[in-house]
Amino acid sequence: MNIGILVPVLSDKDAVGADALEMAAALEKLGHTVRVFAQTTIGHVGVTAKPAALADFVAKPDDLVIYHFSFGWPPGLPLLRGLACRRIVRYHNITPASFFEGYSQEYVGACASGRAEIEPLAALGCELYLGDSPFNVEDFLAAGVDASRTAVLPPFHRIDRLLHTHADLALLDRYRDGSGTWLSVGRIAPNKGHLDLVDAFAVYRRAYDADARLLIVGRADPRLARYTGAVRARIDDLGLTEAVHFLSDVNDGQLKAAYLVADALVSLSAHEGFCVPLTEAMALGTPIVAYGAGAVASTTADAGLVWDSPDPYPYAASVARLRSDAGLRRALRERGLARMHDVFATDALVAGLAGVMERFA
Amino acid sequence: MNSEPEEPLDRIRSEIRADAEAVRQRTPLPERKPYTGGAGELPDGAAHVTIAALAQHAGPDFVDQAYRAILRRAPDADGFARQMAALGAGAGKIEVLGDLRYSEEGRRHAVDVAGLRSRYLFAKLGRLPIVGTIVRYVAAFASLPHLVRYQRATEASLAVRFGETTKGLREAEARDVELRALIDATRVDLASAVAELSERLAKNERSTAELHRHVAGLHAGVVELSQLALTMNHWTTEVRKAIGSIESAQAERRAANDETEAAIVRHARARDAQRAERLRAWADEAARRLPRGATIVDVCGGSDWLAELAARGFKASSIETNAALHRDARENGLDVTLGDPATLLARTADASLDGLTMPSPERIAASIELLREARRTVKAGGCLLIGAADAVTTDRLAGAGFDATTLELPAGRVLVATRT
Repeated sequence: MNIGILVPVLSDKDAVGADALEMAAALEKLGHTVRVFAQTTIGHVGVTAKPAALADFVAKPDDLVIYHFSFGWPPGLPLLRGLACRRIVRYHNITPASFFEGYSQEYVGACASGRAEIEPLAALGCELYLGDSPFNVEDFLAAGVDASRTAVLPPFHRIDRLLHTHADLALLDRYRDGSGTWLSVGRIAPNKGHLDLVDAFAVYRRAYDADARLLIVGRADPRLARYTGAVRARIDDLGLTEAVHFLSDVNDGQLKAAYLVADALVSLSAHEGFCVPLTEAMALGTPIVAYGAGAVASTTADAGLVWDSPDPYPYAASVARLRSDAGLRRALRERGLARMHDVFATDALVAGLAGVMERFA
Repeated sequence: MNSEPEEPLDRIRSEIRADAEAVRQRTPLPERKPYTGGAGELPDGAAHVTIAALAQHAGPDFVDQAYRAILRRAPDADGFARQMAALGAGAGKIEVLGDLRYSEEGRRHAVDVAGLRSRYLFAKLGRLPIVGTIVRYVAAFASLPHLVRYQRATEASLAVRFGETTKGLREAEARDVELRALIDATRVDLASAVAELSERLAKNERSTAELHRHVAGLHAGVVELSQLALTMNHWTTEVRKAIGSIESAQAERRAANDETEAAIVRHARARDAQRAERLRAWADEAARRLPRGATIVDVCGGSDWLAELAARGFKASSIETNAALHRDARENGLDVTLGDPATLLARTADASLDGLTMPSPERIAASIELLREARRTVKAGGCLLIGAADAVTTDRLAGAGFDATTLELPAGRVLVATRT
């Protein structure tokens, strides 16, 4: 069977690119002929073809296209509609525009137009709508897709590469001084809940550990400078200017060191389609404390302390408990490692993908 | 505090929540103020930018800054990706700036980028076939003096960099020495830990060996028990076989006895010339005392007696103690049950019978047990009919709650008793 992987913008840096490229490799190992089609590529993504060549590659009715849908791409709909082969929509979720109101009209427009494509894609009647998480699938169920045409497969990732990278010694030396260390991983955007995170960290500093620090690993988007400004202003208001460290453009070694040095990965993100940093934390044995919004609760399951509201106090108390309770730390670490191995490891994902492909045998 | 891994997470969460509530009381957070800072866009009116100012940025930052300076907005996703791809394909920053500045949108904003037009045209000219090659050669020749100066500057810069690198290397070497010392110390710690682990391992091995010996002893005990169980099983089987043989012999003897008794009964009934007349008279007497459809149970009365009762409209069934006679009755299509009368009557409901007959007392005596069951099962007003009753039976019936009368019928005497 010929399988075309269609990704409008393919980058070697982001989670969608990792999923698309690793999925392509896994499908090739399963014996299929796979080709990746991208309108634009960024970084080292290997050989790709332009979407205009897709129809010729998947010309037979039993061929297959997997369309990675993570933002609005108007050419995608007519392209999928005109194909004679079977189609899978691989949905990575699109953040609701409301999160960006007051911060960036450009983002508001882009997210709104992206989410506006959910219903037309649902109406195409594709053979399968494959979400990263049960939360993602809900968007297509709400758009009228029958449950029998949906499935969940966690995203492929490059955590193995992170595991085999040497942790950055300078970063380890800098932060391994015994003080409490919170870690947040993810780009700086309004849906990621940095304002709530800063509040929770402020509570922790005031109630438990005046020397604690917060590492925010993630890139600040110039287009969201107003949001970044609001986060920094709150940090200043709470007297945390020296305690919050922004780490931008970190490499794998620095990222690994940040996980290793942290007492917990703390996430107060209000909207996640899967949340890859949670699985990175599981793989590296970093306990998780998270707000169970979006897909966070299903991704974490029992491998972390998950709360049902962004109220800052339980997060501060959770990290304090983790710092003082070795048994809890060990239990969460073991559960995280087991969940990583059983559910999110590459072998488990390949087996899950093979299960999905049985529908198309 | 040290929770065990198996400690329920829910209980820990409850404790954390309680702790959080306590902290909330004593550590309130200040309210968030509305953010009044800038939106991140460049201020209006910056109509003049320089190539040098923009070119100092690299990669994504360069594209972002170029958009903001020339198009007065942040880059859109597609445009950002396109310009990044152009840079990745070898395009110069001048080309990116020129593409933006001289696009329809760029011309509308008309931002003045000093020196861009000529350099952009030159860059574009260099992309033309043949002419472009010539232009690039001429330009390269013209810029030789500049290149020489640049080379000298580069040499000076490289010398500085070399110095810095050498210094960095020395620092790295020092760091290397420090790390080696750390590694050596760690190695010593590890050796100590390994020794301790080896000792624990040896201790564990000794414990394991002892455990193995204990398990081996248990295993021998289990084997012995198993042998005993097998022996008991063998003897149990033998005993069962013996009991089976005895039961089989008893059954054979019982069958032979039944055949003999059946032969005697058949012979006696064949020689009894008045039996048919007597049974008819007794059945008529029963019909006088009981209505049609009455339920009557007979005990060892014989097929002919049961037929007489049925002929008078009674719902009659019989209990037979002899297997051979039972077989005869069943072959005649009669409702006859094989078994002990007292036992079978014990399974009959209280006051459920209208009558009970025992016309052949030579075969079955009216025992105390049988009379007790008769008293229980026969309704008040119902009757008991017994052939050729004697004084003892009459007394027993009176004691059992029956009003007994001996009738002298032409074909013979019969004892009729009414349940009081």
